[in-house]
Order: sequence, then structure tokens, then C-alpha cells
Amino acid sequence: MNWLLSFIWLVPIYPLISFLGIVLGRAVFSYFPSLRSSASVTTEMNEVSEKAVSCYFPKSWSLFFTLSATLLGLFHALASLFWLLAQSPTEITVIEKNIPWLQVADITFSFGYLLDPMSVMMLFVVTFVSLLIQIYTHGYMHDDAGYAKFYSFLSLFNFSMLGLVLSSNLFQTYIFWELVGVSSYLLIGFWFFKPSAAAAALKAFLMNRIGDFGLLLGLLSFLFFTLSWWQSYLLDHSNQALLSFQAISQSSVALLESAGPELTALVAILVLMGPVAKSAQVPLHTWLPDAMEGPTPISALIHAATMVAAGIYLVGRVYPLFQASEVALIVVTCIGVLTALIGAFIAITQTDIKKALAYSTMSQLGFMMTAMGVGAFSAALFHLFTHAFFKAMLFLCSGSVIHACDGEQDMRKMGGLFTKLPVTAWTYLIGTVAISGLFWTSGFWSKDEILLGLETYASRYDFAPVVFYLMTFAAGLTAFYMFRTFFMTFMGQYRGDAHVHSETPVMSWPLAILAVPSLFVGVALSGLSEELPSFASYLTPVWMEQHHQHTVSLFSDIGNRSQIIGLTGLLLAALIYGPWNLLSAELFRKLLAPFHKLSLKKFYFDELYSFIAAKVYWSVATATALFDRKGIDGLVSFTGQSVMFTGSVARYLQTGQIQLYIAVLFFALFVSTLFFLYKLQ
Amino acid sequence: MMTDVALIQNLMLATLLFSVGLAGVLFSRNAIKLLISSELMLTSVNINFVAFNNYLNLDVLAGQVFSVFILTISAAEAAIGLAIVVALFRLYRTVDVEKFRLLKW
Amino acid sequence: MNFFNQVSIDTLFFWFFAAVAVISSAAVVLNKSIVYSVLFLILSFLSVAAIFALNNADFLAIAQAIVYAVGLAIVLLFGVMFTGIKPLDVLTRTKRESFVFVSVILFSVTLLTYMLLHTPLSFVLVTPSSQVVSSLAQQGTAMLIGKLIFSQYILAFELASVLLLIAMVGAIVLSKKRLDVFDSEASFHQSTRNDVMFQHSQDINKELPVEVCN
Repeated sequence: MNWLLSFIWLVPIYPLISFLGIVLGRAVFSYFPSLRSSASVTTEMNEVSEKAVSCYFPKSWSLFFTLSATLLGLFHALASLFWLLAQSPTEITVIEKNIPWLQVADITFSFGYLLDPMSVMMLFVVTFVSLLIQIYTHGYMHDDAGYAKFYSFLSLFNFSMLGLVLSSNLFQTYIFWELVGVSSYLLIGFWFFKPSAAAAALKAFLMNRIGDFGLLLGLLSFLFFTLSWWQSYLLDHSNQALLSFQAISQSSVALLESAGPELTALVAILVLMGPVAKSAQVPLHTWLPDAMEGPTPISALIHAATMVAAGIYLVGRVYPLFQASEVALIVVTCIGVLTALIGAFIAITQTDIKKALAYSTMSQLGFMMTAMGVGAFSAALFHLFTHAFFKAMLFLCSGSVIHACDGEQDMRKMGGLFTKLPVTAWTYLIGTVAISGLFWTSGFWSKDEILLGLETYASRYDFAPVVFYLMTFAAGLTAFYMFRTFFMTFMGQYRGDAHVHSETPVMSWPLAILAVPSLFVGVALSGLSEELPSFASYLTPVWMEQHHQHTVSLFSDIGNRSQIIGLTGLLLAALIYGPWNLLSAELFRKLLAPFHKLSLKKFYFDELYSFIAAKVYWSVATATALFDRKGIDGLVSFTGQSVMFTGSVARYLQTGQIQLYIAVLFFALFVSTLFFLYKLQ
Repeated sequence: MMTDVALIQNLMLATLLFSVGLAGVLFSRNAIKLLISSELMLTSVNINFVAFNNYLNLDVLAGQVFSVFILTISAAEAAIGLAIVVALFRLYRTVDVEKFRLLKW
Repeated sequence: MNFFNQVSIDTLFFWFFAAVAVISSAAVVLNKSIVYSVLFLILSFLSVAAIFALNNADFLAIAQAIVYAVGLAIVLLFGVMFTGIKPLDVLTRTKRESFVFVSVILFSVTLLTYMLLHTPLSFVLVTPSSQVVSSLAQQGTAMLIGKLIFSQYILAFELASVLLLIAMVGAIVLSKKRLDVFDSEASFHQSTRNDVMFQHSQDINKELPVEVCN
């Protein structure tokens, strides 16, 4: 056990080895044809030329590499989980190890790992979910040409994500943060021959770059204000790294002292830009729905369970920084509320099953962000934890549906799949119930905690009750749109043309396994039972003063209320979209025409950004380009042109006649003689 | 002994020969004549060396030794020059330097 | 008679040979026929050899007569034979060219004369001491020059020999019968052949299957 813990730094290394193994293996197999056996040949489409080319890396090898890497990681994660649970929640010792990496003047940047409740939680989620998704991928991508490539990218992503989770300081986090961005780019654009996928990958990358830029600026300014504090701090704590997460709390106080409240808020908001982009929060969220162009396992892995959670995770990591500035916390709250509402609102009108799920992810991330903003720290992480399971499951279900319907993603062409895909349908139902927060499934408990935190928050500001009501409304919307997708996909009559395939075990087993935590992880960790560990008690850090000390029960006020609201949403969805056709959707569409249009057009965010990019930015760029072409280039070409002019005149000296050259030679000789004569006298 | 002829008369002769040679080099259109004229110029230089040696320091015959070297080099130059002229003649079927104008603007 | 008493025979010789040298040089330059030019060149070289002899350079005078007046002239005559004796007008120049050339020549003459007149040494009427002259007359200059060449100027001598070797090889290479560099027809064919091959290879490139392994 302990040796697994002491080698915890190997967790990101396994996927890295797997990634390199697959990549190098593919290269070796490509260059040494004698290694190929006929069985290992898979035909890949070269999408650019639409010609079949062969890739010779055996599928089983890449599957083995990736799965064993993740499985080993899961063992480490379990070991660390047991290590954590063996400790009392009131006094947790954390493990931090660092090695110096980069020395600039008297600043030393370190690489290291930090094991505390948060990283252990994320480690478990990431390894567990990605293991199941990688198994599922075998079924989903089995006939795809880029099977081995896909697994190598999955390994790369796991490497970056686990490195991010384990990193001990902000700089290392930033490095892995960027790596996560790159691997998500690769995975979203996996089917790069589709122009929409290529564009989506680019969009995700650019949006994330905007956020990352803010994050980097935030980091640097944070370090700028607190460098001397860190230096004196590291003298006493030699085992810690610069910008170590363990000392964020103290350093935030130092930041507030040296920079003042306004600049502290600025630093916090700059740092927030990173999570806003990565977790698809409101101004920078537009990439997430587009990222559904990637293969569905990717949507499940990256855009539901792990990568988008990284933003919330980072906010949790640097939470004291936000606490130092009231303004920053209010900004976090506002962004979260907006995201939750807008995401839920858009999800109602989506017809693409994956996009609907994407917007629901966005909405749930908004819930987490709001919880962070209002100080329900452990509730946010709890929701992150439960959401990872059921949202991954929902996405895998949608993948299973899409796989069965021959790539059809439009819910209007589905329906009645309940009998044809029983496992998928049941697990999807479980996921829907869980995300709606009904019937004491895992989503109920985590959402309950968030609403509880909001209620506590309501007494702190004048506007705070509004936040509470809006979020309750968003919770109701969640139930409505999720059940809408369920009814449209699985109930009623089948409306599609494609022949529906049956499920394969390799795809349905991960669903079944994920259903277990989706149902029970909430109640198990809610603190209801004294026997089981309570999530909140472990995940509430020492520097966090307890806002609410509530007793958990099955029938609390908040819980009852949210269940009633969720049931209302369910009822509405059943009435409108259910197989019984009790209420016409058309009617509501006409009644709420402006809202419907707003939702259908996704609040015009894409149009706004296109306008900014295409019109505003374009005009500025045109003006500068004009200056560049006429001004700068003109200057440069003037130099060249003057040289050319001189040459065009001077070239007539080159008559090609030897004697003229000789004459010039002698003339020069005599002139120089004259010169020396003059000098001598 | 040339008791009445001073150094300057020798140098005058050399100057005249040099100028005549220069004129030949510049004006002649025949490539061989161009070579001949350059030999004239070299000879005038030789006269200079010998005269200076004779009038200034006859104890050491350094000037005459230099003349010997100039003789050698001019022979080499004439050989190479003639070879070039012959090669050019093969190409252009003429020795008119006016025609060798490939390297023109 | 008075004139002859004052002027020694050597002085007369000097003026005579100087006149011959200048006139024959002018004839070399001005003559239209290249063969006559070479013949006048021989005369000019011979008179220069006489001037050398008058300047106490007997070895050089003989060398000049043999190497220049005989050897070089014969080589030049061979060149003339190779290239034909078609006369070319000397003074068929454009006005601009003539102006340039004449001005350069005038410039050179003026400058050299100016230098002569302003050099203090040139007026030295010192004749070499009779002692040295008589010893030179006895033993000749050949031995002294040989001693100098093989002692003090040995490096220059060796370099000159290498230079001669290189010149010989160069002359042979340059005047070889078929020289590919100057064979314009051959090079033309070669270039077109290359063009064809290049186009062909481009076509091949187009048809090559792009083996991208994803």
C-alpha cells in the first residue's frame, strides 16, 4: 500500500509511456514492413486524399498499453484513497514532494506532487471514469480507421490531466493545463477531415487560449506581488514549491497586504479567466457545444467528467485567492449563475442529443461555479464528483444510441429505443434522474448541498436571494430538458430511417458500472450514515470557516422543495414530449416565441463573437494591414527599389568591352598614384 | 660609358614606351595585338628597373634580378593570353575584342 | 666635330636605340597588319636589349633578345597563324571611346612626366663608378644575378617556376581542341534533356501515392 503511495508520481507517467509506446510503435511498424502480420493490418482512411492507406499497429497492443496504464493509475488512486480514509477528517496530513526544476536568479520553480483530499478525489474520478471510457471506446471506435491514434491521444490526455491533478504548485498546473488544452484540441479534431470538427477543435483551442492567457497573467501578477513573501516562506518550508497550493491561503493574505483590494480582485479575476474558459463558463463557453464534433467517448471523458472539471478544480485549489477579494467571489457567483441559466435555457431547444447534453454540462458547471462563489466549497466539489459519474454515463449512453442509429444524432429521428437498447435506456434514465436531483440519487445530494449553501448565502447580500431562486429555477429546468431528451430518444415511436443495431457488451458494461456510483455515491458520502465517510468533512479545508453546519436527512426542507421542482420539470417534459402527446410543443413555442428564438439561437453568442471577430477586429486588422503594407512595406521596398534603380543606371558601365575596363583600371591606378603623391608631399 | 645620358633620359624612354603600349592596349581591336602592347608596357617597366639599378646602386644587381622575374612572368602571361585568344577564336571565329561582349548589361 | 668631341659614342647609341624603340613601338601599335606588328615588336625588343646593354646589363640584354625578341615573337606569330591574319582597323572606335582612351593616355603621360620632373633622383647625373663598371665588364653580370637569384631571391625564383608550370598546364588546357565549357551546342542539348527529365520526375511525383500513416 505504502509503496504504491510513494510511487504516486508514476500515475501520470504510465499514460505518458503508453502514449509514447503507441506513437513510436506506429512509427516502427510503418518503417519496418517485416514486422507486419496480416492480422494486425488495419486500413485507415487517409482523409485528405480519400485513399486507403494502411496502418500496421496492432489494435490489441494499443488497447493493452492504454488500459494497463490507466489500471495502474487506478491502483495508485485506490491506495491513496484508502490512505486518506484511514485518517481522521479533522486532522489530515498531506504529502507534498518537490524537486527543483528551473532556477531563474534566486527563484526556483519546482515539479512535484501534492496528495490532499482534493487531489485524491480527482485522481480517483479521473482514473476510474477514464478506465471505463477507454473500455467503452474499444466498442465505439472499433471500426474506426484511427483506432490506435485515438488511444494514443487518450493516453496523452490522461497524462496531462493526471499531471494537472497531482501538481503541487500553480506553475506546474499551468504547464499541464496547457497540455490538457492541446490534447483536447487533438481529440476534438480527431475526425479532422470533417470541416466542422476541425473548426470546432480550433475554436476550443482559441477560446482556451484566451482563458489561459488570463491565467498566465494572473499567475505572474500574483507572483509579482508576493515574490518576497514566497522567498521568506520557502526558507522555512524547504519541502514546498514556489506557488505551492498548501500556502495559497497565507500568500493570498500577503497579496492583499502588498497589492491592496482592487489589485487583488484583478489578480483573482485574471486567474479566474482560465477556469472560465476551461469549464465553459459564460463568456467563453461557446466552444463546448461545438466540441461535440469529437467522438462521443471524448465528449464523455473530456467534456463531462475530467477536463471541464479542471476549471472548477483550479478554482478550488486557489480558492483563498478569491476569498481575499469580495468582488472576485461575486464575479464567480455571477458567472456561475449566468452559465447555469443560459446553459439550461439553451439545452431546452437542442435537437442534437450530444449538444443538449453539452449544454446541460455547461449548466451543471455553472452550478459548481456558483457554489464556489457562494462559499459552498465542498458542495461544489461534491457536485463535481457525482456529476463526473452520471454525466460520463449519460454521454456514453448517447454514444451508444448514436452508434446504434448509425451515426444519427438528431433526436427527432430517434424515439422508441427503450425496448431496443434496454441497458442504455435504463442507465440513461438513471443518469437523467440523477442529474435532475430526484429520488435521492447522487445528484440529489450534491445539488441539495449547493442549494443549501445558496440559502445560507441569501442572508449575506441584498441580491443573494435572487441567486437562490434563479438556481432553484435552473434546477427545475434541468429536470425538464433532461427528461425531454429522454422522452424524445427512448419513448414513443421510432422516427428514424436507419436500422437500429443492438448493444454490445463492451459498451453496455461500462454503462452499468457507472450506474452504480450515479445512484449511490451521493447517499454514501452525504454523511447520512455515521459509518461512511462524509464528503464534506474531508473536502472542507482547514482555512475554510464553516458556513453551514447542517444535519443531513432524507426529507429536509430544501430537499423536498428541490424534489418538487424537479418533479414539476419531469411532469412538464412528460406532458409535452412524452409518448402520450398530452400537450403540444407547438403551443409553447408560440406562447414563448421570443424566448424560444433566443434559446434556439443560443443567446446570439456565436453571432456576437463572429461580429467582433469579423467586423470589429477585421476592420482594425485591415487598417493595421494597410499601414503595414503601405508604410512599413513601402519603406522596405523603397530601399530595394532605390538599390534596383541605382543598379539599373550603373549597369550601363558594364559594356562588356575589355578595353573600357582597362581604361578605368588605369585611370583608377593613376588617381591613386596622385593621391599617394599628394600624401607624400 | 654614357657619360651624358642621365637617369631621366632612360625614364623618359620608359614613359614613352609605356604610353605607346597603353595606347595599343586601349585602341587595338585585335586580341593578339592587345597582348603585344601589354608586352611593350612590361618592357618599359624593365627599362626602369635596369636604369635605376645602373644609376643608383650598381653594386647589387637587384633591379636586374627583378627584370628577370618580370621576363618570366610576362612569358607566362603571354602563353596564357594566347591560349585564351585561341580558345575564344574557336568559339567566335574571330579575334576582335569588340565581339567578346557576352558579359554585357 | 665639336659635337662629336662632346658626345660619346655610347650616348649616340642610346639616343639612336631609344629612337628606334619608340618609333618601332609606335609602328607596332599603328600598323593594321598583325604580322607587321609582330615584326616591329621584334625590332623594338632588340633596341630595348641594346638599351639594356648600355645600362651595364649584358645578361639581361641577351635574355631580352632571346626570350622576347625571338621566343615570344615566334609564339605570337604562331598565335597569329592560328587565328588568321585578317586585319582589323585600329581606330574604328566610337567618339566616346576614343575620348575616354585618349584622355586616359594623356593623363598617364602627364602624370608620369610630372613625376619625372619632380623626382630629385632623376636629375642625378651620377654615372656608376668606373671601378664597378670595369669589374662588371670583366666578369659579366650573369654570375652576380645567378648568385642573387639562388641565394636572396630563391623563394621568388621557386614561386616563378611554379607559376610557369601552372601557366603551361593552363595554356594546354585552355587551347585543347574540344572544350565542353565553350561547346555551346552540346550544352544546349544537355539543358533541354535536363528539362525533359525534370518535367518527367515532376509527373512521377504527382502520381506517387501519399503514404500518410495516421
